[in-house]
Amino acid sequence: MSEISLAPDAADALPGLSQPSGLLRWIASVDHKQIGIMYIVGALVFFVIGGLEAMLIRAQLAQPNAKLISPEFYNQLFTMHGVTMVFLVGMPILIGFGNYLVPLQIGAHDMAFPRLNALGLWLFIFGGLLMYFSFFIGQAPDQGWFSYAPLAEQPYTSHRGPDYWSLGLFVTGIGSVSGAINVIVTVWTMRAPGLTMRRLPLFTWMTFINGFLIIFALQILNAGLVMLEVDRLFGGSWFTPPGSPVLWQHVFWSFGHPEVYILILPAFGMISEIIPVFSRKPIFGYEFVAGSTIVIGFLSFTVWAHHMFAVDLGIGWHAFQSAATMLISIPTGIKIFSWIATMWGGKLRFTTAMLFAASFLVIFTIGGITGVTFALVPTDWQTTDTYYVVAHFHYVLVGGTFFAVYAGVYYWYPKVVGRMLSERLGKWHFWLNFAGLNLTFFVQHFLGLMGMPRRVYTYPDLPGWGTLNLISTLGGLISALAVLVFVVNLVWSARRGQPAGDNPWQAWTLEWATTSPPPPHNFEELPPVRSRRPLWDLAHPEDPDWKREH
Amino acid sequence: MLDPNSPQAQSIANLFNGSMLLGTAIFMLVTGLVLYVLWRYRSRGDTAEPRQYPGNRRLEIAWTIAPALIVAGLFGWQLDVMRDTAPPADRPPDIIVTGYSWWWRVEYPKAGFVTANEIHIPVGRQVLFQLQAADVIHNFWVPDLGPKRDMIPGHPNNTVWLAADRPGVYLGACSEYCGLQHAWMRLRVVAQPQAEYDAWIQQQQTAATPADAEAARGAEVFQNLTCVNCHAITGISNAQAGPDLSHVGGRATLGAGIIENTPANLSRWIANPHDIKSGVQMPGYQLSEADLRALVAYLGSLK
Repeated sequence: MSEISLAPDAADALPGLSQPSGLLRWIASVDHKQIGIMYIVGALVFFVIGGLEAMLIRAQLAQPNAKLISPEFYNQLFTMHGVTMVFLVGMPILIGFGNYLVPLQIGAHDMAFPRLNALGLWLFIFGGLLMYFSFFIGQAPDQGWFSYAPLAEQPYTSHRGPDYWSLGLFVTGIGSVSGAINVIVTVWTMRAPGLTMRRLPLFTWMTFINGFLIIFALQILNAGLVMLEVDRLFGGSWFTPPGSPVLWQHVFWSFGHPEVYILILPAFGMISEIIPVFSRKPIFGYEFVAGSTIVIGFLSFTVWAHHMFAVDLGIGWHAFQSAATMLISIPTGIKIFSWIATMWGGKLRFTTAMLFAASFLVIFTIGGITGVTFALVPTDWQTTDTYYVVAHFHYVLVGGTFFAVYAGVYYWYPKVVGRMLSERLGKWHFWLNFAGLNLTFFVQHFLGLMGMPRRVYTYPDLPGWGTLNLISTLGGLISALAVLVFVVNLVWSARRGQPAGDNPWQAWTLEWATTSPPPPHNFEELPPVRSRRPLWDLAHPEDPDWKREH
Repeated sequence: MLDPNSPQAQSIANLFNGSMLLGTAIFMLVTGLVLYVLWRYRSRGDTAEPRQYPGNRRLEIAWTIAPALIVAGLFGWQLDVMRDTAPPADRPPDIIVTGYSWWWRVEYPKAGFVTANEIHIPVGRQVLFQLQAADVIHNFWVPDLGPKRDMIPGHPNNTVWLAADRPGVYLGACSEYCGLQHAWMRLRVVAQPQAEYDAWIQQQQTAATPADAEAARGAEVFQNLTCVNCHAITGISNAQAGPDLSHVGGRATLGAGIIENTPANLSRWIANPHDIKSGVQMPGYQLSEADLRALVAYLGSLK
């Protein structure tokens, strides 16, 4: 078959190819960069909503026996806070970064399936809107983000909340799966000449592995959602006797634990890009950092029942799931030590991105250590479903995922917008967030150990409980202030920030080889790729990486 | 959990403290390294790039193996702790607790009586609890006395061992989210010396009688209203839908911990329980002041 070439003005002559303008330019877009930006902006809007829900929760809990918020509304708040932060903030913001960056990092002009890409975005947005619509009819989900049967079943929750929850998540879930397929195919088939799988930038690598986790985990959730709706709408009994409520827990957590890694692997990828650039050294032990991601991926599907130790599944299950959970600390430890070793012997530049990345190491380690408490069956029996677990996973998801995302925003914003974020506001943002996070969540470890269960709209006035909760609420206010500074920075710098240039950080991966922001087709020309750091090779012909690797 | 008061709670606390000690050491190592590296290798303004090197295989293998040894050690330790807390299968339970939304039915099968929301146990003896659920999943947890366990509808055979080394009142709570009033599904365990405990058992086995004429009139009010359709009182009613009230006057709280059990609070509860704990099954009763006073006197006298 011969090649068909279009005359230079053919694109203008065909109406389907003409460039729409204004809002339609975004809505009708199939460009991975625009889609990526819309994912991220959508996630940030939901982040503000989920954050306001958290503020209301903390306001109610600031004092014992408070009556600021009704129990009905409180239960809706904590349910939607969790659902929002996991499904409408964490996943889409990471998918959005992947969308924007993966084609650029592999030297491609777009994703493999641009229209499927747009479908995924709009499924995320409409799924989110569908769930939030429940507030307008006064029947928001209030059964918890994990929607345990039989509480979420018809006799115990007769309003439509769980149905909005199931259908909303089903819609976003299909979007996530389509996005994951797209990433996998894109990375597999569209890499620039010379960019072998062993030379992939680590963010792209981890997003690629994450694609497999999403495909397998989200399908389990989607199946579970349908089963729950069969129970609720058609009188089935998957999860009520003669079926079993424990079956729901198996279904939910065999999605739910891989989900935790879905929320952290791309964040690990961001850290693996940012620390080397601001240490001026290649990542230490690329193969171990990349390989440990695969190990985490496999292990993440073998540990779900550590969410169910209090069910009492018997010693065999407990021992197996506990051992598998503890094994995950090994590949995670490899990453932490590799990042530290990357900094070792470097020349560190303390940009805001680097501050978030370096503090990620410390805060994520705290979350990892308290995680051991849930891997050990007997200590899990004491601490599960208490404020200790709330503290633990906020260290992982805020101090881990979110600090990495913040680092990523400060690092890649110049590429996306063409202007630098204000470093001055950035430092304010960092220090306020660092203080706020620790103040909010560190004390919650003690509340949990003192016996405070989670998901309670109030608590009795027992010694110390009021004080610790008040400290936690004050920390929340500081975090809210930090987010405000962050948003101001995003908006202000878009118009007034310093022009960025193509490669403001002297970074080494392909996204920095094009203009900021990149043109519609991403690259005018690609540099030769002979190693993991093509732009280093370009800048240092006397000391190229390809002489070092292998 | 910070104040373990039984051998099993102590055993778990030891494991927790041990793992935290280890964790703190790892945290200090990581934080120390990060701070050292940040200080030692901070850029001093020159633009020359540092020496480039991609890794060190021996070091990478070392920090793969070291954590593996640590988790293997912890894994072995926890097996011992699991043995310390594991209930043997071949013994009937001492107490059967059933979780309802949002209160606890407490049955003493050997002594043959039922009570609610407050559990008495003898000091220094291991007590075997059988845990069930009547509606949704609940979780039975008294942090100072031992591990928590889920109560799952359709799975009536969950058990847990608890004990108390010292006499006292130990607070517990439902710790599986169970709907609207999950926050107020609280629990009290009263650990008593053997003689005191035996006396309590005997008291619970005997029907309480109205203390005076007003209380006796209150008993009539109780029987004439729909109270008897849901609440049991020994000698008057056997209904099981709500908490057993045979000795409600002896309990410290009402509504599973939401208010103190005083005559004033009891009248408020009877007149409008939803004002205090919205969503409970019990309807409010519009009684004449005299009837309400009599009913409160009667229930308060059931010690």
